Order: sequence, then structure tokens, then C-alpha cells
Amino acid sequence: MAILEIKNVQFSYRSRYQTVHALKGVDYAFEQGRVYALVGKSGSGKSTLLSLMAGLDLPQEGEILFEGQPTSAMNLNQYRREKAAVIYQSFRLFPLLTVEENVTYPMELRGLGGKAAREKARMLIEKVNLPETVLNRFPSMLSGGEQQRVAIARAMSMDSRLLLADEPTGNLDTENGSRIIDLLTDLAHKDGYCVIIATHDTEILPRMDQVCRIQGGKLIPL
Amino acid sequence: MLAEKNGLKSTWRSPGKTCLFFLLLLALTAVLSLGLCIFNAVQSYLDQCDDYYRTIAELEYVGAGYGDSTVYDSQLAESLSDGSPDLEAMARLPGVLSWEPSRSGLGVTEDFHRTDSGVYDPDAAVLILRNLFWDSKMGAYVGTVSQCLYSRTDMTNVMVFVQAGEGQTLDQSSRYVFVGRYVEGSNSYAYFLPEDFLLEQDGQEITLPAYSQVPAEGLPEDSPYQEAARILGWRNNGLRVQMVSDLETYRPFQQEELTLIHGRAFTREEQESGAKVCVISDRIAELLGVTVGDSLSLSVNCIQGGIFTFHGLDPAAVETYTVVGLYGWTKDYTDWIFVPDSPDYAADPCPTGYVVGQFLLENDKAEAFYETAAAPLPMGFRLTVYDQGYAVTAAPFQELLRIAAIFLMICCLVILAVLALFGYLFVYRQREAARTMVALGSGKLHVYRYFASGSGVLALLASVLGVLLSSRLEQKALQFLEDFAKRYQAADLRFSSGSLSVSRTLAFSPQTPSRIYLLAAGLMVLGVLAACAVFTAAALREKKPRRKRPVRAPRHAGRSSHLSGRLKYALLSLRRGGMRTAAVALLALIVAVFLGQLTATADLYRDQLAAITGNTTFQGYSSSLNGLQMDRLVVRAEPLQALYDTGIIEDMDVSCIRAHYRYLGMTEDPGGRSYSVSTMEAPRNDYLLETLTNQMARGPLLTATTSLTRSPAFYYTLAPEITWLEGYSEECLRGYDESLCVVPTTLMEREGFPLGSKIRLFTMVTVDGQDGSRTYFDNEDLTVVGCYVPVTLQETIYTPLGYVFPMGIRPEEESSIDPYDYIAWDGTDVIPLSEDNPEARTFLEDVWGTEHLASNAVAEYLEKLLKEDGDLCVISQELLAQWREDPDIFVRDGMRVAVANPSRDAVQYYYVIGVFEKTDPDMGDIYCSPMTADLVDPLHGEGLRLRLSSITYGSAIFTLKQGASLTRFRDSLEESGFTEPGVTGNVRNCAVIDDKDYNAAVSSLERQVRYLDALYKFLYALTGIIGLTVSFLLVNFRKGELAIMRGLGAQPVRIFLNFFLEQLLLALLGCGLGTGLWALLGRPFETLYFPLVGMYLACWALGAAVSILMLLRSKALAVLSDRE
Repeated sequence: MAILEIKNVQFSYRSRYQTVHALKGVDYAFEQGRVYALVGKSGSGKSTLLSLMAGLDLPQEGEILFEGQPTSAMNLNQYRREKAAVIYQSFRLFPLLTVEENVTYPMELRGLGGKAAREKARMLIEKVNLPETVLNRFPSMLSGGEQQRVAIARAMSMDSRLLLADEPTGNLDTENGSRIIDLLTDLAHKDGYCVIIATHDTEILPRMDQVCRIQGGKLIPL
Repeated sequence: MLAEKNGLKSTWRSPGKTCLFFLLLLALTAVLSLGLCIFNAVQSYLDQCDDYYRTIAELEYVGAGYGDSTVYDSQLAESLSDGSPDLEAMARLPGVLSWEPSRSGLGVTEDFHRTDSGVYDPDAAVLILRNLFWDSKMGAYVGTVSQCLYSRTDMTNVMVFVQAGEGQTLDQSSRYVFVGRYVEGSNSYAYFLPEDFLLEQDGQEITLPAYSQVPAEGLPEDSPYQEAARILGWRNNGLRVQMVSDLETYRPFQQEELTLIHGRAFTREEQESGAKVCVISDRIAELLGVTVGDSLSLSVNCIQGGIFTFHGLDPAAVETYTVVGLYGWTKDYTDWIFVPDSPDYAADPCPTGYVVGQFLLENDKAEAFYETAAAPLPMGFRLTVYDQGYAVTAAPFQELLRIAAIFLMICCLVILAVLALFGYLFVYRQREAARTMVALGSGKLHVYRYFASGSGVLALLASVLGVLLSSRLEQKALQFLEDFAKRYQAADLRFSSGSLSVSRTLAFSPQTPSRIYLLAAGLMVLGVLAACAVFTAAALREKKPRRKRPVRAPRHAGRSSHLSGRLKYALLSLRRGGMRTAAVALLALIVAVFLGQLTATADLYRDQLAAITGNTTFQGYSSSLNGLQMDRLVVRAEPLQALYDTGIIEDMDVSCIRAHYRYLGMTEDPGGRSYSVSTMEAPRNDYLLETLTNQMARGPLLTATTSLTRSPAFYYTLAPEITWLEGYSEECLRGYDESLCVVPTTLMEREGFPLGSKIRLFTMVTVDGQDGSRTYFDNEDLTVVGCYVPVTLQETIYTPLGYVFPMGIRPEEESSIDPYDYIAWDGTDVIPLSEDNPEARTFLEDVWGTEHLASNAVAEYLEKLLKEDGDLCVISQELLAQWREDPDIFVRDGMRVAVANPSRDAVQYYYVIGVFEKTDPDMGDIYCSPMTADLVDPLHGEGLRLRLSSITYGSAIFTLKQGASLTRFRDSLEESGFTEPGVTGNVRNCAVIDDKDYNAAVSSLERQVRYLDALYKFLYALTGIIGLTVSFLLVNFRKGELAIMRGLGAQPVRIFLNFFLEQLLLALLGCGLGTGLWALLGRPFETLYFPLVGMYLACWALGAAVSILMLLRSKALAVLSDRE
């Protein structure tokens, strides 16, 4: 069963002089346990689609269904808090929180705090192949690859089955990028996550379960 | 043209930005041109003021005869020859344009014989008498004037009483020539007082005897008496010639006491070339029979030792002067001739009169000059600044000029900022386009033309419209300036010592030249074009890639916090914020201290103002009509009493000349040992009376005063040197014991009597009554309880004012008013006399058994007393004793008593002319002229009024109660009818409040407070705006963190509280620390402090809240995708 279903989603950006139609009716269904890659030229609408799926905005036309429920009928804050986890190209970690605090933050938003949250954070950090010593470090003390792993751990801490990654390797070297992709594919294949990656990196495409191109505002499975 | 076309298109296609800057440039041009108009108008007006007003400072010496312009004061001469004050140094002080010493000479004109009484020595005469015979009754010779060698009026054939020297007789068959003074008697006789005459012959000073026998062949032409007559003629017919460099700035003209009514003043060219021109009074012109354009033959004599000196007058060569102008004469300047000063005239460092000279000052430096020059002046010198009202007129405009300059400066800074923004937005932001143009082969000039065309057209249009707008607003702005100046000038200067000068008014009627508008518009267009040039250059400059700053990791690894809950993030951010946290707290701390300083400063000025207003003690004084503090005024007691009755006056001191005295000797030394000093008798006849009167009138004075240090002799002395006998102080002058006196040390040393001794004086009192003046003589024994070092040559003896000073200052029980307030008019105590009563005459003759009046007055009084409508009475010794009054003094001073009818609704006043002793208890207490029923006055405080109405003082000085309202006092002075210097009131008594320094201090403080109020309001607002803006920006800078929270689905309330509480806590912490620091510094917390700190916190919180809410309201996607 599809965890995320996109039906005729349309989205445009309007300025005073022009309107850019980023998405012109996208239809697709994403399933758990699979890794999807969204590719396309710059400005084709990859990030837009990803943001709509992440609940950062609502489509102007059509709808996005999460486990059959349209996101427009949901509280988007709650949807972001509980259903969709996002990994950004620039990691977006709180600079003044330690790694542990960054990871526990989503848990605390959901009411899970204290020792249990810290234990879980420790476990997630281990899971993303980071040593326990990083827990008390600030993000700025870590390398880019390590920061992205912390971001993945934070995404995993949300207990969401949907993991959205926007150019997760964009700021990383090839080796670190490869490791991150390994981690994400493992999450899909071993833990049953639905992982959707928006990327330009063609080298990772062979490792994807499904590659979709966004072209002319449409999503074309390849 | 392509560049221009594209430039205009580009401007046209960004309408929002274009409109915004069009309006900004329009507004700024309007403001700039208005500012320039105001600056120009104010500066022009101040320039006009500089031309229109003339400020001078007159230096005077307040000597014994101050006020008399004919006196040559030897003490002044001595002081000036000692170089004290140092006039040359004063003339070098900043602000002095020139120093002009008072220089004068005696102008002698032929065929001009003055007969008016205004001549220098009106009674001087040289007469030849014949037919002299001895009049035993008068004790003098009587002769007929056979020849009048000199006298003001022709005395030929007039009978003259004259006396020979002590123990000498005159040959009755001979003729004698007499030199001296004559006094016209009450009948056709004249009384001649022979006096020795000082004469200079062959360079030697000789004393010409007062009389000499005339040879049978007559008095030779070369007789020294002929010379004396000639000298007297020159001197009395002479006119004062005043050498002046610039008539317009010469004080009497500068103060408009004198004005030209015909012709003109002499010109600078005439002055520099030493032209023989003159300006004379219309009166002298009439007497001389000349007018403008006529010639005047004049011999100008610059005599050393005073122009009216008795000897050494040898008329200089006669020169012809052209009369160029006539001034309207006044009493003080009847016969003055003004001529251009020239080195040709000999210089005497000491002037005749008391004006030493005058400084011509730069208008705006007069105050500073006065402060520097007045303080070190020696005793007796007075410096008075006359600015024609310049300070009052110019001060608000000088203030406005300063404000306009600051305004223009701010305006320029704002314009620069706007131009920078303009350049950035219109040019620099289009740098890609500029570089593309260059890449496509366009030159830099082409690029500049591209940007300048659009911007230039925009600026030109905006500037033109701005200038038009400002020209419409200009009149309103200038009207506002005028209103501001009027409000500023509205300081209450009634009776103020700061407004003694005549006040001229120069209308404020500015004209704005069109070049001002062109300048404003031009500056704006040029500014825009310059901004385009600068930013075009910047846009085309190759930019070096910026080195990316490495991210700085915290020095140590952090420790995960076990904090939890909604505030966790706020607290962690607060704790780990580092500089960000510290900066917010530090800013709040600085703001708290800054606000503390502002409120403290504002309150400090207010406190100072309140302290000055509340604690300043004001002194006021009676003055001459031109506001000068001096002696020998005629200050009526009644308005003074009215002033005192207002309750605003704390203390009042008055003094008056009681008598002229002659020192007779010491009657008792401090040890109680008596010495025989004979009394001096009152003159027995008119001749002796006139002789003695004349002599004593030129002698020293006996002055009654309530305070020695506040008496006129010490007005210009900072520290009078007074020594008191043990047990006595100045307070004794306020007592009733009139037998005490304070004498000058010079008299003590010369006559050899110490403190504590008793001295005998022969005194002469002249009382002005309704029937002319009456003269009384007395012998007074006084105890010397103090001595003072005299400032002038005058050897005045001071006595308590005693009975003539009720004024209510003393306790009521000591007042000498009440006992004789009213005397019942019941027909028993008060008995009207009449001619019908045969015993009345006998009774009255008996009353004068003890002589109280000059003998010749008795018969006259008797006649008057017995007539109806008379106002004289005699009073019993018993009644006076009951009133605690001294009969001698009571009669001598012509006191009056009020007699009321039985119902006390009418009163009649009688002068007391005699005192009698009751021989029968049934006798009445007062015998008076027949009463007339219609001579009544309503009874309302009449006793006091009656008493005061007959009293005048020579000077008065008063002190206001501390904290008393100055305005109320000015109102009281006005209501009492006092004359303000330069503004005549109902009472011809002029009063001045010595508030010049106070006014200067208060107006300066008020100005400070006014400015600080305005400035501080702005600063308070600025503090709030800074708080609001900084907190807004600080939160906005952290939109990345906020975006992560939103991305992770944090609830908006949580996000809001996280950031808001963090900001609030930091600001609170800073303000708390600042307040603590302020307290540690021991500075006061003024009322406004906490509200202002609260306001800052509120603004800070508001800024943070608005910023958070704005970020929360925008879409999460927009926040996340926005570049930080």
C-alpha cells in the first residue's frame, strides 16, 4: 500500500510580472521500504514537490494523501512533527544545541523527554554510525558528513515512516555522500522507511529503487 | 541617446522605487531649501541688527558730587593718574572696538552774555561799591553798586549788604571792589558774601583778596579784579565743548536722551580731518542767533584741572566753527557743543564731570566684556552697558541660527544617507546590467549616462517641485520664527536692571533671494548625479572574491542539558548565546545607565532652576530716571510704604540728608571727661542767615539712614571698612537713639576724637514747605559709635533714621505712628484760634518763648495761624511727651498732626510750628488755625498716609522675601505707580530690581531645560526605537533556527515563547544590572527612570514579538527557503 499518494498536484509561484508553474499535475504513489530518487533540471520542481510532501505547504490544485488521508485535512505542524521527516542539504541543525539535544528535540515536541529520549538518541546516533562521544558536541564541531548523519538521526527520532531528503549529498564529498546514501537505503530496505531523495547526483541513481524525473511540471517514472 | 533612453526606461519600469525616491527627494529639497531660507533670514536679520544697534559701556566714577557734570573730582584725577583702573588694558579686552575718554573744553564766544540761572556759578560777581555805611541792626555794611565789573544780571545801583573781614573796617568815603557771591534778599537789597579769588598771573598762582579799596582815579585795566571779572565772565558765559569721535555712539545720543532736530551729525571724514564743525542745542542756537550752516566763532579751552577751574583761564585763539546740526536741548545738556575729537585739543586724563569715558563694543560681546571688565574695577567706578536692546532682540535669533545650523547639518546627513541609498538601489543593485553593458563594449561613460539620465530627470523634477513647495511654506515658517522670537523675548523685564538701556526695535522682515532656491535644487540634483557617479564606479569595480570565514566552533565541547519543557530551548540559547547573549544584556545595561543619566541631568537642571528661583534674594533700589543707583533722589515714602504693605519685601533701608553740619568740637571723651565746647547761635539777621546758609550748604552732610553699608556712599563699594564701638553694630541705626552717629575716619583723625566720644555739631536743616523753604539751625551732641573709611572726599556723618522711618518694619509696639494717628476734635483738646480772640496773639507769642524758628518767621506764622484756612498749630509739650516725641525735632521738621472730628469721619492736617508748656491743666493740647468744615478727607489709613506724605528719602534699597515671586513684585511696583527706567509711571520715583544676573542664569537654565526636554523626548523615543529595532532584527537574524523548528513541526506557541522569553529575560537581566550599577554609583533614581526603563523593555519585547509573529505568519516553506 502506498504510504504517500500524489494526485494531480499543481503548484505555481507568482510574482508581479510572471507566474511560474512549477508542478502541472503530478500523480504518483510512494511505497514503504523503497528508495525513490527525484531528478530533474534546476527549477524543474523537485524541491517544491518535496516541500509539499513534507507538509511545508499545500498544493494549489490536487492533493497529497498520507496513508490515505489528505494533508489538507491535517494539521500541518502535527504532520511535520509526526509523519514526515526531512533531511536538508544544509543539515539545518540547531547550532546552540548539542548533538544529543538536536536529536531529542523532535521527541520533546511529541512529549517524549528525559532519560528515555536521551537513551533513544544514543541508540539513533549509534545507528547512523557515529560514536557516542559526539552526543555532547555542537554541530559546528562535526564534519559535514557527521552533521548529515545527525540530521538523519534526528529524522529517525520522529518515528515517521516517510523520510524526505533534499540533496542530502549536495554538501558532501563523494565518500561521505556514498555513506549517507548507504544509510538511507538501509533505512528503507531494513527498517521499512519510504525514502524520497531529490538529487542531481546521477551516481547514486543506480542504487535507487525507483528514479522519477520531473520534467515540464510532470513526474515521469523512469 | 541610447544610454539616456534606456536609463529613463529603467527608471520608469521600477515605479515603486521611483515614486518612493521622487517623494523623498521632493521632501528633502523642500526641507533643505526651507532650512536655507531660515538660515539666510536669521543671519541677515542678525547682520542688520549689528548695523542697527550700537552697544557701548560707559565708565563713570561715583564721587561725592555724582550727577554734576561740572565737577572736577580730584580723587578721580588721582585714581586715573595712578592707572587705576587700567583703561588701556580695558580697551584691549576682546569685544572692544574703541575707547573714547570723555574730553571737554570750555568754549568761549564773544558777545555772548548768559543771564540764565543755568550758568556754572550764577551768583559770582565782581562789584565796586560806593556810599558804604554801617547798619548796626544787620551787623553789616550797606553800599550801592557803582560799577558791575561782572555779574550775571546787571546790579548797578543795587543796594548791597556786605561784611568786611574779621576785625576790619571799611572807609565809608571810599569805593571798594568786591569779589564773591551775592544772594538776592527778600526785599530790594542783595547780600554779598566776599570771597578770596584764586588767580594766575605770570605763571604764578596768587590769591586775590575778597575786597580792596579802589583808587580815586578808578580801577586800572590791568587790575587783578578786572582779570577776575573777565575770568568769571568767560567761565559763566562759556559753553561746554565736548569732543566726540562719533556722535551716533556717544551715550546721550545713543540712548536717545539727545536727538538731532535739524541738520546732521559730523561725518567720519570731518572727524578724521579735524574739521571745525559743531552740533549745538537749539536753545543755544537761538541765544547765539545761529542756525545750521552758520558760522560760530569759538575759542575752545582745554584747561587742566577741570574746565571750570577758577584760575589759569587764558582763552585760546578763536576759530570759526560751522554749525552742522542742532539737537533738542534737555536739562542736562542745555549748553553743550559737540565737536569732532582731534589731537589738536589738549588732553586732560581726568574728565570734568563723572563720566570717565565709554567703550564702543561689538554687540554680541558686550556681556562677556562686562563680566571681564566690571569685576576688577576699583571702588567708586561703575561700568554700565547700553546696548539699545540688542541682547533682548538678538538672543532668540542667535538661538534660531544655532538651531537652523544644526537642522541644516542633520538635513545634509539625511540627504547623504538618502543619496547613498538612492545610489545603492538605483545603480549598485543594477551592477550586473552595468557589467553586461561594459562586456558588450559600452564605455564607462555610457554606463554612467545610463544611470544618470533616469536619476537626473527624477532628481530635477523632485527638486523643482520641492522648491515650489518650500516657497509656499516659507512665509509660514518665517512667521513661526517671528512668533518664536516674540515668545522668547517675552521675558518679564519690567523694572529689571537688565533693561536699563533704551530699547530700539528692528522689524523682522526677511527677503529670501531666489538664489537660495536655486542652490537647494542645484545641490539636490548634483548630489544625485554624484551618487550615480560614485555607485557606477563601485558597480564597475572588479570585486575580489571574499574569503569565507571559517565557522568557529565553541572552544569546549558542550554538555547536554537535562533541562526539559517548553522553555528549554530559550534557556539553552540564553546560556550558550555567547556574544549574542552578552550584547543584548550589555545593550540593556547601557540603556539603563543612559536613561538614568538623562533623567538625572534633566532633573538636575530643573532642581537648579528651582533652587535659583527659590533661593535667590533680590535687591531693588530707587534710582534716577535712567535707572542709575545714586543718592539725593526724591523718594516719596508713601509708595514705598505701599510697596512694603504688599508683604513681598523682607527688608527696606532708606536714607536721607538730614542736615548740613559744622563740627564744633568734642564735648566728652570716652572716659567721661567733659570738655567745654561753645554752642553756635542761629543767625540773628537775614544777612548773617544768608551768609551762613550759603557757607554751610557747601559743607558736609548729616545723613539719617537705617543701614550704613546700604547707604548710597557704599553702593559701589564691595567691602566698606567700618569699625564699631564695642556693643554697637549697624543695628543701632535702626534704633530710636538719635544721639548716636558714625563718622568718617578722616574727620576723626583731623579733629582728634576717638570712638565713644561725644561731639557737638552745628546743624542746618532746610525744610521745603508750602510757603517755600525754611531753614533751621541747631546744636546737636552726638555719641560717636562707629567710624568708616570714606570712599569719596565727602565727610558725611550718619545718624539713625529714627522717627522718620515707620514703614512697618519695626515691631508694632515700637512704631511711632499710632499715638498721633488721630486726635479727637472735640473742642476741648483742640482749640481753634481766631483773630477775634484777643488772647490768642498773646498766647502764641508766649509759645515762642523758647526759640524754635528763625526769628523772622515768627510774625509771619502768627499772622497765618490766626487766619482761616491756615494749616498751622501749636502743640503742648505734654502731648508730645505722651507720644514719645522730641519737641525740638517735631517742630524743626515741620511735622503735621491729623485732627479728626468727634465722629472720626473727617480729618484736617496741621503743621506743628510751636510747642508750649501747659500752665493750666484745663488748657487744650493743640491750638490751631480756625477749622473749616469743607477741608475734610475720608478716614482710611489717613494717619499713616498723612505721616508718609510729608516724608521723602534720598535713597531706598529693598530686599525681597526669599522665594517671593518676582512677577508679583513687578506687578506691585507697577500698581504702586513706580516709574520704570525709560517708562514714566504715576510716581516720579524710579525703581529697579537688581535681577540682571538672575535673569541671565534663569533664562540660560530655562533654555537648557527647554532644549533638554525636547532633546530628551527625542532620545527617549530613540531608545525605544533602538530597542524595538534591535530586538526585531536579532530575532529576524535567527529565522534559520525558527525555520528548523517549523520544519520539525514545533507548535507556534512554543516557538514564540522560546524566542520571546529569551529576549525578554536578556533585556531584563541587562536592565537589572544597569539599575544595580546606577545604584552602586550612588546616583539618584528620578521619577521618570523606572517608567523609561519599563518603556525600553516593552519596546524590546514588542520588537521581538512582532518579529517572531511575522516569521510565524509566513509560510514555513518561505521561511525555510529564504536565505539567511
